[in-house]
Amino acid sequence: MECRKYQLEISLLIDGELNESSAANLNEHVRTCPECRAAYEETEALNGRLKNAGLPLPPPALARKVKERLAGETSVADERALFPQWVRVPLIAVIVLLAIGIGNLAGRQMTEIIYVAQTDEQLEQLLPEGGPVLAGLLTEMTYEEDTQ
Amino acid sequence: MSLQMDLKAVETDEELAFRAGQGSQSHFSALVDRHTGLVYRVAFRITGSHMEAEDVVQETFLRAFKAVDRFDPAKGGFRTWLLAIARNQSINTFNTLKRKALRFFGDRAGDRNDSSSEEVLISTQQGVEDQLAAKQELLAVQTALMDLPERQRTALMLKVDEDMSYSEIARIMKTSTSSVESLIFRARQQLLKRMQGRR
Repeated sequence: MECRKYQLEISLLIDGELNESSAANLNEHVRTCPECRAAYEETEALNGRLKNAGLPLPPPALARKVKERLAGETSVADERALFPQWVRVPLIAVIVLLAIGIGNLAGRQMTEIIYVAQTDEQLEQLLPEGGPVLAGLLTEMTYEEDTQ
Repeated sequence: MSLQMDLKAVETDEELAFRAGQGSQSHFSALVDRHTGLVYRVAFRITGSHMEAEDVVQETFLRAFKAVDRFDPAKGGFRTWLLAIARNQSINTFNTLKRKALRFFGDRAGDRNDSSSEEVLISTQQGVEDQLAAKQELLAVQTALMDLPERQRTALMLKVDEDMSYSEIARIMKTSTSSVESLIFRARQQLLKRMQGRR
Protein backbone atom coordinates (compact mmCIF):
# COMPACT_ATOMS: atom_id res chain seq x y z
CA MET A 1 0.00 0.00 0.00
CA GLU A 2 1.10 3.51 -0.77
CA CYS A 3 0.64 4.66 2.81
CA ARG A 4 3.10 2.11 4.24
CA LYS A 5 5.99 4.15 2.90
CA TYR A 6 4.74 7.13 4.87
CA GLN A 7 4.73 5.30 8.20
CA LEU A 8 8.46 5.85 8.86
CA GLU A 9 8.23 9.45 7.64
CA ILE A 10 5.42 10.12 10.12
CA SER A 11 7.79 9.06 12.91
CA LEU A 12 10.43 11.47 11.52
CA LEU A 13 7.86 14.25 11.19
CA ILE A 14 6.81 13.96 14.82
CA ASP A 15 10.48 14.08 15.89
CA GLY A 16 11.22 17.14 13.76
CA GLU A 17 13.71 15.27 11.61
CA LEU A 18 12.26 16.08 8.18
CA ASN A 19 13.41 19.08 6.19
CA GLU A 20 10.92 21.84 5.59
CA SER A 21 9.90 20.70 2.12
CA SER A 22 9.38 17.04 3.06
CA ALA A 23 7.52 18.03 6.21
CA ALA A 24 5.16 20.26 4.24
CA ASN A 25 4.46 17.49 1.70
CA LEU A 26 3.79 14.93 4.39
CA ASN A 27 1.56 17.27 6.37
CA GLU A 28 -0.52 17.80 3.24
CA HIS A 29 -0.78 14.05 2.68
CA VAL A 30 -1.73 13.38 6.31
CA ARG A 31 -4.43 16.02 6.06
CA THR A 32 -6.08 14.20 3.15
CA CYS A 33 -5.38 10.52 3.93
CA PRO A 34 -7.48 8.97 6.75
CA GLU A 35 -5.14 6.03 7.23
CA CYS A 36 -2.04 8.21 7.57
CA ARG A 37 -3.88 10.71 9.72
CA ALA A 38 -4.85 7.89 12.10
CA ALA A 39 -1.23 6.69 12.16
CA TYR A 40 -0.02 10.22 12.87
CA GLU A 41 -2.49 10.75 15.73
CA GLU A 42 -1.73 7.34 17.20
CA THR A 43 2.02 7.99 17.17
CA GLU A 44 1.58 11.47 18.65
CA ALA A 45 -0.63 10.07 21.40
CA LEU A 46 1.98 7.43 22.21
CA ASN A 47 4.67 10.10 22.34
CA GLY A 48 2.54 12.15 24.69
CA ARG A 49 1.92 9.15 26.90
CA LEU A 50 5.65 8.41 27.12
CA LYS A 51 6.44 12.04 27.98
CA ASN A 52 3.60 12.47 30.45
CA ALA A 53 4.41 9.27 32.35
CA GLY A 54 7.01 11.32 34.15
CA LEU A 55 10.76 11.29 34.25
CA PRO A 56 12.58 9.03 36.67
CA LEU A 57 14.36 11.31 39.14
CA PRO A 58 17.61 10.48 40.92
CA PRO A 59 17.75 10.48 44.72
CA PRO A 60 18.56 14.02 45.93
CA ALA A 61 21.93 13.06 47.43
CA LEU A 62 23.25 11.15 44.43
CA ALA A 63 25.39 13.95 43.01
CA ARG A 64 26.96 14.48 46.44
CA LYS A 65 27.75 10.74 46.75
CA VAL A 66 29.40 10.79 43.33
CA LYS A 67 31.57 13.77 44.28
CA GLU A 68 32.56 12.16 47.58
CA ARG A 69 33.62 9.02 45.79
CA LEU A 70 35.62 11.03 43.27
CA ALA A 71 37.35 12.86 46.13
CA GLY A 72 38.37 9.47 47.55
CA GLU A 73 39.69 8.34 44.18
CA THR A 74 41.73 11.53 43.90
CA SER A 75 43.49 10.82 47.23
CA VAL A 76 44.51 7.39 46.03
CA ALA A 77 45.71 8.87 42.76
CA ASP A 78 47.82 11.46 44.64
CA GLU A 79 49.52 8.69 46.63
CA ARG A 80 50.23 6.82 43.45
CA ALA A 81 51.68 9.99 41.90
CA LEU A 82 54.19 10.22 44.78
CA PHE A 83 55.25 6.65 44.17
CA PRO A 84 54.70 5.87 40.50
CA GLN A 85 55.00 2.33 39.20
CA TRP A 86 58.56 2.80 37.94
CA VAL A 87 59.67 3.76 41.47
CA ARG A 88 57.53 1.35 43.44
CA VAL A 89 58.78 -1.87 41.87
CA PRO A 90 62.54 -1.32 42.33
CA LEU A 91 61.91 0.25 45.75
CA ILE A 92 60.04 -2.83 46.91
CA ALA A 93 62.81 -5.01 45.47
CA VAL A 94 65.47 -3.09 47.41
CA ILE A 95 63.48 -3.34 50.64
CA VAL A 96 63.07 -7.09 50.19
CA LEU A 97 66.76 -7.57 49.48
CA LEU A 98 67.70 -5.52 52.51
CA ALA A 99 65.36 -7.57 54.66
CA ILE A 100 66.85 -10.80 53.36
CA GLY A 101 70.35 -9.46 53.84
CA ILE A 102 69.74 -8.28 57.38
CA GLY A 103 68.00 -11.52 58.22
CA ASN A 104 70.92 -13.45 56.80
CA LEU A 105 73.41 -11.44 58.80
CA ALA A 106 71.43 -11.32 62.05
CA GLY A 107 72.59 -14.72 63.25
CA ARG A 108 76.22 -14.29 62.29
CA GLN A 109 78.95 -13.31 64.64
CA MET A 110 80.52 -9.87 64.21
CA THR A 111 83.83 -11.34 63.27
CA GLU A 112 82.23 -13.01 60.22
CA ILE A 113 80.55 -9.83 59.09
CA ILE A 114 83.30 -7.27 59.55
CA TYR A 115 86.60 -9.07 59.57
CA VAL A 116 86.22 -11.49 56.65
CA ALA A 117 89.78 -10.83 55.40
CA GLN A 118 91.43 -11.41 58.75
CA THR A 119 93.25 -14.65 59.74
CA ASP A 120 91.95 -16.78 62.58
CA GLU A 121 94.69 -15.61 64.97
CA GLN A 122 93.98 -11.95 64.27
CA LEU A 123 90.26 -12.49 64.77
CA GLU A 124 90.82 -14.25 68.09
CA GLN A 125 92.75 -11.23 69.34
CA LEU A 126 90.17 -8.70 68.16
CA LEU A 127 87.03 -10.45 69.28
CA PRO A 128 87.45 -13.53 71.49
CA GLU A 129 84.98 -16.34 70.75
CA GLY A 130 83.80 -14.56 67.64
CA GLY A 131 82.13 -11.65 69.39
CA PRO A 132 78.42 -11.02 69.77
CA VAL A 133 75.92 -11.70 67.01
CA LEU A 134 74.47 -8.73 65.12
CA ALA A 135 70.90 -9.42 66.33
CA GLY A 136 72.11 -9.40 69.91
CA LEU A 137 73.83 -6.06 69.46
CA LEU A 138 70.66 -4.56 67.98
CA THR A 139 68.57 -5.92 70.84
CA GLU A 140 70.93 -4.44 73.44
CA MET A 141 70.81 -1.07 71.77
CA THR A 142 67.01 -1.13 71.90
CA TYR A 143 67.01 -2.22 75.56
CA GLU A 144 69.34 0.63 76.49
CA GLU A 145 66.98 3.14 74.88
CA ASP A 146 63.97 1.69 76.72
CA THR A 147 65.70 1.86 80.11
CA GLN A 148 66.89 5.45 79.75
CA MET B 1 34.57 31.74 45.92
CA SER B 2 31.09 33.02 44.94
CA LEU B 3 32.46 34.58 41.76
CA GLN B 4 34.20 31.30 40.88
CA MET B 5 30.94 29.41 41.34
CA ASP B 6 29.14 31.91 39.10
CA LEU B 7 31.77 31.53 36.38
CA LYS B 8 31.37 27.75 36.44
CA ALA B 9 27.63 28.20 36.05
CA VAL B 10 28.07 29.99 32.71
CA GLU B 11 30.89 27.88 31.32
CA THR B 12 29.97 25.33 28.68
CA ASP B 13 30.35 21.61 29.31
CA GLU B 14 33.35 21.57 26.99
CA GLU B 15 35.05 24.41 28.87
CA LEU B 16 34.46 22.67 32.18
CA ALA B 17 35.75 19.40 30.75
CA PHE B 18 38.90 21.10 29.48
CA ARG B 19 39.65 22.51 32.94
CA ALA B 20 38.82 19.19 34.53
CA GLY B 21 41.25 17.53 32.14
CA GLN B 22 43.92 19.88 33.43
CA GLY B 23 43.29 18.58 36.94
CA SER B 24 40.55 20.80 38.34
CA GLN B 25 38.27 18.62 40.42
CA SER B 26 35.93 21.53 41.11
CA HIS B 27 35.24 21.89 37.39
CA PHE B 28 34.49 18.19 37.12
CA SER B 29 32.20 18.50 40.13
CA ALA B 30 30.26 21.17 38.24
CA LEU B 31 29.77 18.64 35.43
CA VAL B 32 28.55 16.08 37.96
CA ASP B 33 25.98 18.56 39.27
CA ARG B 34 24.80 19.33 35.76
CA HIS B 35 24.48 15.83 34.41
CA THR B 36 23.67 13.45 37.27
CA GLY B 37 19.96 13.60 36.43
CA LEU B 38 20.57 12.94 32.74
CA VAL B 39 22.88 9.97 33.34
CA TYR B 40 20.48 8.56 35.93
CA ARG B 41 17.50 8.76 33.53
CA VAL B 42 19.40 7.00 30.75
CA ALA B 43 20.71 4.35 33.14
CA PHE B 44 17.26 3.75 34.57
CA ARG B 45 15.67 3.42 31.13
CA ILE B 46 18.22 0.83 30.12
CA THR B 47 18.52 -1.18 33.34
CA GLY B 48 14.96 -0.74 34.61
CA SER B 49 16.31 -0.62 38.14
CA HIS B 50 16.55 2.30 40.54
CA MET B 51 19.45 0.76 42.49
CA GLU B 52 21.42 -0.27 39.42
CA ALA B 53 20.92 3.16 37.87
CA GLU B 54 22.56 4.73 40.94
CA ASP B 55 25.54 2.41 40.59
CA VAL B 56 25.79 3.15 36.89
CA VAL B 57 25.84 6.89 37.63
CA GLN B 58 28.75 6.43 40.04
CA GLU B 59 30.72 4.21 37.66
CA THR B 60 30.03 6.49 34.71
CA PHE B 61 31.39 9.59 36.40
CA LEU B 62 34.32 7.66 37.79
CA ARG B 63 35.31 6.48 34.33
CA ALA B 64 34.68 9.91 32.87
CA PHE B 65 36.84 11.49 35.56
CA LYS B 66 39.74 9.19 34.75
CA ALA B 67 39.40 9.79 31.02
CA VAL B 68 38.40 13.47 30.86
CA ASP B 69 41.92 14.54 29.86
CA ARG B 70 41.38 12.54 26.67
CA PHE B 71 37.97 14.07 25.85
CA ASP B 72 38.11 15.64 22.39
CA PRO B 73 35.36 18.21 21.67
CA ALA B 74 36.13 17.96 17.94
CA LYS B 75 34.60 14.47 18.00
CA GLY B 76 31.36 15.56 19.68
CA GLY B 77 29.96 17.32 22.74
CA PHE B 78 30.71 16.37 26.33
CA ARG B 79 27.13 15.21 26.89
CA THR B 80 27.41 12.80 23.96
CA TRP B 81 30.73 11.47 25.25
CA LEU B 82 29.39 11.07 28.78
CA LEU B 83 26.22 9.26 27.68
CA ALA B 84 28.22 6.85 25.51
CA ILE B 85 30.06 5.84 28.70
CA ALA B 86 26.78 5.67 30.62
CA ARG B 87 25.18 3.49 27.98
CA ASN B 88 28.06 1.03 27.98
CA GLN B 89 27.93 0.79 31.76
CA SER B 90 24.16 0.38 31.70
CA ILE B 91 24.29 -2.38 29.10
CA ASN B 92 26.90 -4.29 31.10
CA THR B 93 24.75 -3.97 34.21
CA PHE B 94 21.56 -4.89 32.37
CA ASN B 95 23.15 -8.00 30.85
CA THR B 96 24.37 -9.08 34.28
CA LEU B 97 20.87 -8.57 35.69
CA LYS B 98 19.36 -10.58 32.85
CA ARG B 99 21.76 -13.48 33.42
CA LYS B 100 21.00 -13.50 37.14
CA ALA B 101 17.25 -13.27 36.52
CA LEU B 102 17.38 -16.11 34.00
CA ARG B 103 19.16 -18.30 36.52
CA PHE B 104 16.57 -17.70 39.21
CA PHE B 105 13.38 -17.11 37.26
CA GLY B 106 13.86 -19.02 34.01
CA ASP B 107 11.71 -18.04 31.03
CA ARG B 108 9.56 -15.70 33.06
CA ALA B 109 12.53 -13.40 33.74
CA GLY B 110 11.24 -10.82 31.29
CA ASP B 111 7.94 -10.57 33.15
CA ARG B 112 9.55 -9.90 36.51
CA ASN B 113 8.82 -6.33 37.47
CA ASP B 114 11.57 -4.69 39.38
CA SER B 115 9.91 -3.90 42.69
CA SER B 116 12.26 -0.97 43.06
CA SER B 117 10.22 0.79 40.37
CA GLU B 118 7.83 1.46 43.26
CA GLU B 119 10.58 3.63 44.72
CA VAL B 120 11.06 5.67 41.58
CA LEU B 121 10.29 9.29 42.12
CA ILE B 122 8.16 10.95 39.51
CA SER B 123 8.33 14.54 38.50
CA THR B 124 4.61 15.38 38.50
CA GLN B 125 3.18 17.53 41.26
CA GLN B 126 -0.25 16.08 42.08
CA GLY B 127 -2.55 14.89 44.91
CA VAL B 128 -2.29 11.41 46.44
CA GLU B 129 -4.76 9.64 44.12
CA ASP B 130 -3.28 11.30 41.10
CA GLN B 131 0.17 10.38 42.34
CA LEU B 132 -0.92 6.73 42.53
CA ALA B 133 -2.38 6.87 39.02
CA ALA B 134 0.78 8.55 37.78
CA LYS B 135 2.93 5.85 39.40
CA GLN B 136 0.83 3.14 37.78
CA GLU B 137 1.15 4.82 34.41
CA LEU B 138 4.91 5.11 34.85
CA LEU B 139 5.02 1.42 35.76
CA ALA B 140 2.95 0.49 32.69
CA VAL B 141 5.16 2.58 30.43
CA GLN B 142 8.38 1.27 31.97
CA THR B 143 7.17 -2.35 31.75
CA ALA B 144 6.33 -1.93 28.07
CA LEU B 145 9.68 -0.22 27.46
CA MET B 146 11.57 -3.04 29.17
CA ASP B 147 9.98 -5.48 26.73
CA LEU B 148 11.72 -3.71 23.87
CA PRO B 149 15.22 -4.64 22.73
CA GLU B 150 17.72 -2.35 24.48
CA ARG B 151 18.74 -0.52 21.30
CA GLN B 152 15.16 0.38 20.42
CA ARG B 153 14.42 1.45 23.98
CA THR B 154 17.56 3.57 24.28
CA ALA B 155 17.08 5.31 20.94
CA LEU B 156 13.42 6.08 21.60
CA MET B 157 13.91 7.37 25.16
CA LEU B 158 16.89 9.54 24.25
CA LYS B 159 14.48 11.22 21.86
CA VAL B 160 11.42 11.32 24.14
CA ASP B 161 13.10 12.07 27.49
CA GLU B 162 16.02 14.21 26.32
CA ASP B 163 14.75 15.54 22.96
CA MET B 164 18.05 14.76 21.31
CA SER B 165 18.52 14.90 17.57
CA TYR B 166 18.86 11.63 15.66
CA SER B 167 22.46 12.52 14.80
CA GLU B 168 23.38 12.97 18.47
CA ILE B 169 21.63 9.72 19.37
CA ALA B 170 23.58 8.03 16.57
CA ARG B 171 26.87 9.29 18.05
CA ILE B 172 25.96 8.09 21.54
CA MET B 173 24.96 4.68 20.24
CA LYS B 174 27.86 4.52 17.79
CA THR B 175 25.60 3.85 14.84
CA SER B 176 24.18 5.66 11.82
CA THR B 177 21.34 8.18 11.70
CA SER B 178 19.33 5.91 9.42
CA SER B 179 19.75 3.13 11.95
CA VAL B 180 18.37 5.44 14.67
CA GLU B 181 15.39 6.29 12.43
CA SER B 182 14.63 2.61 12.06
CA LEU B 183 15.15 1.83 15.76
CA ILE B 184 12.77 4.58 16.90
CA PHE B 185 10.16 3.67 14.29
CA ARG B 186 10.22 -0.02 15.25
CA ALA B 187 10.14 0.83 18.95
CA ARG B 188 6.99 2.89 18.44
CA GLN B 189 5.36 0.14 16.40
CA GLN B 190 6.08 -2.39 19.16
CA LEU B 191 4.82 -0.09 21.91
CA LEU B 192 1.63 0.67 20.04
CA LYS B 193 0.87 -3.03 19.88
CA ARG B 194 1.68 -3.58 23.58
CA MET B 195 0.18 -0.46 25.09
CA GLN B 196 -3.09 -0.21 23.23
CA GLY B 197 -5.79 -1.11 25.68
CA ARG B 198 -3.51 -0.82 28.74
CA ARG B 199 -4.91 2.55 29.80
